[in-house]
Amino acid sequence: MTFKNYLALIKILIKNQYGIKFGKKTESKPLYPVESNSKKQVNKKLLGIIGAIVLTGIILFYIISISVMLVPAFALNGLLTSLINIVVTAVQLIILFFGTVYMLPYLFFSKDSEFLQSLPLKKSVVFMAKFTMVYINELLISVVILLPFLITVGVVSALNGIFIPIVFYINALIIIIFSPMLPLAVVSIISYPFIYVINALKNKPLISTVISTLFTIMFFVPVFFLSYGLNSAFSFEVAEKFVINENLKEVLNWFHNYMYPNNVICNSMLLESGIEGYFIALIIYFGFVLGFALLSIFISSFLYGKALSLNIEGAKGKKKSIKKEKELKVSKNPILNLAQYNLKSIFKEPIFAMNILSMPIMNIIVISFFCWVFTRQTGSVSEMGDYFDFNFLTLGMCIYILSLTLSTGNYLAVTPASIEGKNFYLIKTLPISYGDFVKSKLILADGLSTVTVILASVPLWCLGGQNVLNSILFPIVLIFYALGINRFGLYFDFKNPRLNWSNYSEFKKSGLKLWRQMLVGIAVPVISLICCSFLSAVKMHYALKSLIVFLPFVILSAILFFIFNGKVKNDVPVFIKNTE
Amino acid sequence: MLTIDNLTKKYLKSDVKAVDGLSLEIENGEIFGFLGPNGAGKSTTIKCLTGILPFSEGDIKLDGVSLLKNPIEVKMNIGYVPDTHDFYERLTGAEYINFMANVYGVNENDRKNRFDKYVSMFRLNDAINDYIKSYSHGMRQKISIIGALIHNPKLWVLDEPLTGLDPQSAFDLKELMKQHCAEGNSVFFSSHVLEVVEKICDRVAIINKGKLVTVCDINELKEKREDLSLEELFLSLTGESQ
Repeated sequence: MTFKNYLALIKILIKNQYGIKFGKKTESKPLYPVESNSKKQVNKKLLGIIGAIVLTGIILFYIISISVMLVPAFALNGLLTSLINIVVTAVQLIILFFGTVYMLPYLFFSKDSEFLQSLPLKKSVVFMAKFTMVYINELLISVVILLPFLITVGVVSALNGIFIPIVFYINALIIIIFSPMLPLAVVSIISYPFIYVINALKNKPLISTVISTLFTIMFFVPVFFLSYGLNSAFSFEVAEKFVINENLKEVLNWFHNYMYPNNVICNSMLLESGIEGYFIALIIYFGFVLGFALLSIFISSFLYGKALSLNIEGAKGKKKSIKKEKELKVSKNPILNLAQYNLKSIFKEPIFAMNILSMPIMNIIVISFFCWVFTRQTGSVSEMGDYFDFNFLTLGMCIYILSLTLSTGNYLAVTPASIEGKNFYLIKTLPISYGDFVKSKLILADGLSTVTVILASVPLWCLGGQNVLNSILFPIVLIFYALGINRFGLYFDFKNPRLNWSNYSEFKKSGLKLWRQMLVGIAVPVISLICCSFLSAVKMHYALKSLIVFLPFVILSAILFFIFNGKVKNDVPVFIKNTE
Repeated sequence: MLTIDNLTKKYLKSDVKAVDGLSLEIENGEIFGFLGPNGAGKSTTIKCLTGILPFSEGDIKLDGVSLLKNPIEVKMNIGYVPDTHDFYERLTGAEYINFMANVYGVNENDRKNRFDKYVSMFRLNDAINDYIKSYSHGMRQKISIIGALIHNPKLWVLDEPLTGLDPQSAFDLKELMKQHCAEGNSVFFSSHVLEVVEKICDRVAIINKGKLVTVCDINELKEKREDLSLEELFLSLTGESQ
């Protein structure tokens, strides 16, 4: 009965999370046939599949092209296993980050806890089903990155004359399946302080927002610097080919030797210690994996009970009285008032607040990083003897990053109505015109974009090696672009908002129709980056280059602004019309 | 028979006892109403009773089986309808009910009969294969009720069951409660709708600030105190009358 219950629960959890249905056993077969009763549902599924294929294609393209570029250099230097170890470790780092973000709420603070507690299911069954779900989620990350990477490594190495035995692919499969165990064990250990901190911060959204933002930054900063470290260790001795210097070799060897148990399984992939050594390596690796699995299950199951009572009972605890405001502030501007109210209510949901706060912060970090990395390549150019303007490429990279964030990352512009959820209906009851309401939304969206552009321009001015013209045009053109793209995003979200959600995971699953924003938001930055990359290798007057890059932005921004500025204020959506 | 013996519950972050020494007995075949003002401890009692919340003192027994010692055995005989239903939204109504039947080990024949009966009764035939996320509060309530009854529990516990139900469904639910008790089972429910409690309950308990104020037989109350309605009794005992 216990295993049957586990299966019944896991099927339901998978269905609820991914919409996947299982088997045709009589026991779990729906009593009424499930019909897809509308064309809309089919179209939605089709769009979802196309989106998934495109996204997978982009990821595969990136992973395979980077692997093709790196593998020969590593293979010829006898560092193939080190490269695999680094990538596996990087994936484990990603799993560690997303594992913490996903596992904590799903396992310890999920809203189905009460319901599951009322069922005749053993705590261990519920825990194991939920833990399996966490593992499946992390496994997906491992599969998406490691599967194409390891296959490419095998194929490219073989093409470069390196002997790749069949066990390479067996080990690849083992690595993909079991890599998430180490980060999950680490997440389990760090969960203990986390659940207390999260519980303590439940009613303190601002503090929790700041902590979450810092946590995100703490994760990304080492990743950037790790990639910079790797980047600086290469040199362009021959165009399009990386050569590894001695420094990097030392670092890689040091890293590889200490990164247990990944190094054990990676070393055995090429059968360097013979068949006997291979099986010994497998035994050691599985010993570690089993240890990690038992450790994470043991700690998490212990914490599960603790977190459950904190979660269910914590909300009922004694509440401190809220200080009354000393005086009621009177404001005569309803638009500003509404914008202020809106911002406050968004900041009450820490994850939204974190997304909003991280937009300018992440841009500063990423742009600083790219400016620093690219401007240091000038030396290599002279050695190559070819003309290549790295400063212009830096500009292209910065435009790419910032325009991508402005188009798709500004929650206040892309999902201005949807972000309010059910609260939106309250606003509908207020005696405020639709135009004023839109203005209040635009103030926030444009404000966030402007702050982001100005802050992101600072590292470009200081580290980017740009001429005066580009330094002036960069913030002005991108703010103008933001004004256009914000009105575009606002218009389509107001036309079709998704308000039926009560927490962030529901918000994400609420079927937001963002394909237009995503399409423009990705196409424009990519085209500008390609354009800049091309122009970097072309000798031309710098003002003409700037014109070629910035002019299309200005034209597009102007079109978006003039079409959608009027439309968004005057074209009242149907769901608002009936109340005005 | 349900026996609640000296149930005491104190929340982790609170010094106050949410439920303080509550003792009750509910006979088989009885509809028992549980009343109290907001924050009196009704939902806490129900959550202890259904095994959601651990309790500090006392015990809860169903047909002599202790919830503390044999929680799974006791839960197998309880059907619970909570006051909120905001989970597993990507399941269809049919999938949810089927899951409940699996968990409670209901055989195929019984589940088919009960499923057909309740789905028709609550007029959900057209919506049963739609996702729960598309349901209104009332429809979610109905699905939750069917899920709680699919294993024909000895004790049916409902937390504010009438909220959000249309008049016909509310009537059907009341009939269902009577029918469930007529088969020798018990119903334990909390409500704010005193007229309903007065009409369908055999006995009611009133709780205030975690303590049991009174347990009274509705028929006795009607016979002895014709001048006093349940509403007036409730207000006088909970100190809410003006």
